This record gives sequence, structure tokens and C-alpha cells, in this order.
Amino acid sequence: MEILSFDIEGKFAHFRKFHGNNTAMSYSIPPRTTIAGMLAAIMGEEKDSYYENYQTQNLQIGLRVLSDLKKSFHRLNLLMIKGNNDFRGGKGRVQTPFEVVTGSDLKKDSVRYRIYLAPGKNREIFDQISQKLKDNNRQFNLSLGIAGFTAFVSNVQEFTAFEKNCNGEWINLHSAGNSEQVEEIDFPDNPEFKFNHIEEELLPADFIGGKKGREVYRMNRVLFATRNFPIHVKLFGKYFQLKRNGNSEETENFQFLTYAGVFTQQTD
Amino acid sequence: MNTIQNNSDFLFLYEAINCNPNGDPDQENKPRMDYDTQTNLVTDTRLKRYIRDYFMQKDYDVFVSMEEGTKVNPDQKLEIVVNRLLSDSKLVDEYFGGEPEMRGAFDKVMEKAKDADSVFKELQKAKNKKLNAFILDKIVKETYLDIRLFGSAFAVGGFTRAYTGPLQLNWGYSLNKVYPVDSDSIVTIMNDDSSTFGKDYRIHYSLLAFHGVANKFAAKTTGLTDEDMEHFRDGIWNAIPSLPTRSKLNQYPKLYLEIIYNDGYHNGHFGDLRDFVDVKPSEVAGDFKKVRKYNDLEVDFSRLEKLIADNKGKVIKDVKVKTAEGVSINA
Repeated sequence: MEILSFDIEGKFAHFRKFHGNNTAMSYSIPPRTTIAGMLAAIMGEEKDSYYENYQTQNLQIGLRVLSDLKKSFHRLNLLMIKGNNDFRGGKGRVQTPFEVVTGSDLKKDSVRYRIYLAPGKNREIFDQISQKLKDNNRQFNLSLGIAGFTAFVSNVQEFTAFEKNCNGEWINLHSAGNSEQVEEIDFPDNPEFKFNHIEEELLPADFIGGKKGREVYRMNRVLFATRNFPIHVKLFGKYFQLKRNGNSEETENFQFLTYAGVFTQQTD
Repeated sequence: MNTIQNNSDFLFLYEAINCNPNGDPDQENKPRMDYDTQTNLVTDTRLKRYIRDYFMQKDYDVFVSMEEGTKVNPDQKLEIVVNRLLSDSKLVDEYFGGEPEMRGAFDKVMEKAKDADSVFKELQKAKNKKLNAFILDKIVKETYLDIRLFGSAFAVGGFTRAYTGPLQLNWGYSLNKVYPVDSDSIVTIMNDDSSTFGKDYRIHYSLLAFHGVANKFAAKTTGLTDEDMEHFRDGIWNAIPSLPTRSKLNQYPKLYLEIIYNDGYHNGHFGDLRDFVDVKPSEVAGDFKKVRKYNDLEVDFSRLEKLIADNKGKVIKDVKVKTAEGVSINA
């Protein structure tokens, strides 16, 4: 299967949890919807115009964590906005906890993720995005969650990946894995695996455009390590494998995000 | 007017001496810190506030501003612009030139309404959504410098739209390890009979660095021009020292370096520019804990200089540099 992979990194990230209103908590990894938004920014799509084309069935997206992730809270003194004129500070201010994701040390480290792309039903979208990335012809500036948290693209590469079946064997999964396809997790008795941190998270997978703007449509349930270290798992389903030439000839095992369920009442 | 034609990335360094560069409101207003690594933090909104306040001092139109500083609110401003449109047929031609569909819709509203008030109300109706979005676009592009730069959510009855700013600033952080001033108690005398002890948190010395971008595609949506960029460059350099309040004294710009890319190159081509500056304590200071002024640091721009020298003419079209006295860089 053809795969396009690229890395994104930045100093700060904030992937707002979509529930909750007055606390700005952040996911550790960009939800599929955020990655779709970045791809749309690369293509120069208008706000809210691209949801359909970038949905799970049309474009396959996988994600790997490439750096140690650190989360910390800061308070922002935001303007209280309840109506039209409040941009002038009439309603005063509100202190809002705001969670940011960074590397271990801002001065040396970044937040880094690797994105895997493969064509879905809409082959054209995949072709267009990979062309733009290969030509280094991006449109809008990319960011990690919010517009100011600028992101940088590197390491754009094409691969042929091989589909594999787990067949009850233990493998090292490098990407975020779909929870329902994970049969078993192990922390082998060696120092690195033993101190691996794994999170499970329910993340927005797809948006649909509604009358009132966008709505979360489907969700991903994923397992991932919060550092650049694989998780040791047995999988029910299939996964993909690619060999990366470089300093170390690494074999990467990864999965694409598959949705775990429909979130809204609307149907296909 | 033409919007900016090139993407650019910039690096901004400023120093904060014995002050509180950005208080954390829920932490007793202590300076924002990442205590794991003694890194001092400043949000993008703090820096943009300085710049907006500076623009207001210069009498530019700023949308996100405090009540006292302004004469009119956005509602009224919209009405004023609409009224201007009603009284000036030349302006109507200017606004709607080349947009016959919008012109038609506007003429229809004008025919229906008798006075300015009813025109405004008519415009706010849902069926005129496209037209009012068009007019809003014009207003943003003509009026508010800060929206053209930083974007904004615009929410006036009927006129609702979010603009992503073509100019984005990341959070800033200190390039040196930063330590708090130990003694931070102050006495506040409220009146003759009562005084109270308060806390006044400060840091000794912080050399803060921001990375930012200006994107030419996003510039089209807000109408960011080269002239606006000149205002911005002036603003980011002069805003901080021109607004001295007690906790924000002793802050001075050190370096503004903007890399303007040639066609075909994009924001973040070289990654975060802060990664190309090396900072260590000077031999005299010996330790970050003892750093009290710029000269107590050894700030090495050589990797940044090499990056620029290697790429000038190819990736880099032009470099704009401002330095404070005592700071030098070959670019």
C-alpha cells in the first residue's frame, strides 16, 4: 500500500478537549480532526469547507508520537465575552486554566509527531495532499492546535507499506493503536518498556458541517505512548509495516485510525 | 490595496530586568514559569496587548481595546461605516466595484429602507448574510489594523465571522535559566490606619524569545498589507518600553530578525528560529543564577548567521534586522 509519511513539530501544542467549556484541557496527541485541519491548511481550504472530503472513509490517517510529551497548566487572563461589545473588556476578565503540551525542555526540545497518510475512497484527496507536500507547496501556516502554536513540517517521504496480520504474536506498535483491536498489552521486563507511559483517549475522528457550524460526528478510541517508544501489544486485526532507510534502518509498525463509533444522532 | 506577497518568519528577543514579564493570574500573579527547567514564559496575548496599546497611543483603529480608550463600540462603528456608504456614492462604487452580485443585493436593501437605521437592521437579517459578510470584510480590511494582523472573532448582531490572523506569534520563552528575586514582600498603605503586606514577584533577568510567522495566503482574508507589516515591525520594537507600568518596567527589545521567503517557500522552512540561538552564562557570571544583565550572558548568533548566509538569494529573499546597542548580528 502506498503511504506518505511526514513529521510535524513545534514548541507548544494545545489540542482542546471538545467537551468542557471553561477549562481548556488538552489531548496529548492531535485528534484526527486536527490532523485533517492541518491537511486542509496545506491545501489552502477555507474554514469549515472540507469536513466531508477528509473523513475517515475518504482518507486514512495514522499518528505516531516522536518526542517525550509534557503537559502543564497555565492560567490565561481572557476577556469575558458574552455579547457584542465585550471585546472591549466591558464584562471584565476571566481566569482560565489552559493546558499546554511541550517537550521536556523548551530550549532544547519540541513536540513532534509523525503522520501517516494513505488513500481512502477518495483517491484524489490523497494524491493532491501528497503532491503539495512533496512539492513543498503548502498554503496556510500550520499549527499544533491553536493558530499561534506554529508547526513545522519535515521528513516528507513515500513508502510502500505491507499489510500484516498479528496472528497472536507480540509486536512493537509504533503508532497510536485502535483500542478495540488491541488484544493484550505487555510491559516487558526491560527498563525502557517498563517505564513506558501509555494513555488511552477518546478523540474526535470526523466532523460534519451542520447548520450551526461544525459538529463532532465520529470518535476514535486510541492507545498511545506519550514518548517516542513503541507499545508492546497483541492485535486482533491487521497493521502495516514499513522500513525506513536512514541512520538506523528501523522497521515501523503502525495502524490507521478507525472510528470506534458515531457520536451524533445523524447517520450517513 | 495589495496584500503581502511573501511569507515571512521572525525572531524577536527582548530582555526583562528585575520585573514581572507576564504574571500568572491564578498563581498569585507570579511570573509564568516552567519550573522543571527554570524557563520563563510569556504568552502571545501579553505581547499582542503591548502592541495593541501602542497602536492606540498612535491613534490607529484597534478592535480589541478597553472601554475607556475608545469613542465608539463595534456596533456603532459598523453603523458609521454603513452610514458613510449611504451618503457617498463614490464609496459605494469603490466597495462594490467588480462585485455586481453584491452591488445588486446592496441596492435592493437601499431601495427597501428609508433611513440609515432601517438599512442597518435590514443588513442584519439572515437573508443578507452574504452581503453583510462582504461588507464586514471591507470594514476589517479598511479599519482595524489589529484584526488585519492578528485576526479576531467578529460578533456583532448579524455580522459574525472568525478571522484567523495572518500574523501569528507563538508563546515566548527565556533562552536563559531564570530565577526569582528572593525578597518579594512589599507594604501597601491603604490609608493612615491600615497597611498590609503584599507579594510582588519578580525575576532577576530573562532574555525572552518569540517566534512568529506572517502568511501571505491568510493575508488575503484580512487584507494585511506591506504597510501594516511596517506598523507591526515598529510596534513590536517600540511597544514594550513605551508602556511602562510598575511591574513591566525595565524591559527592552534586543533583536528583531525577519526572514522574508522567496516564492515557493513557506512559513517554518527552517523550523523554529529560536533553535538557532545559543545562550550560556558569561565567564564572569559563571552560572545562570548570577545573571543580572545582557552582558552576563554569551549570546551566540553564529548558527543563525550561517543559516542566513547559506540561504540568501535562494530561499531567503530579504532579511530585516533591528538590533539594540551592544547586540550585533551579520545578516
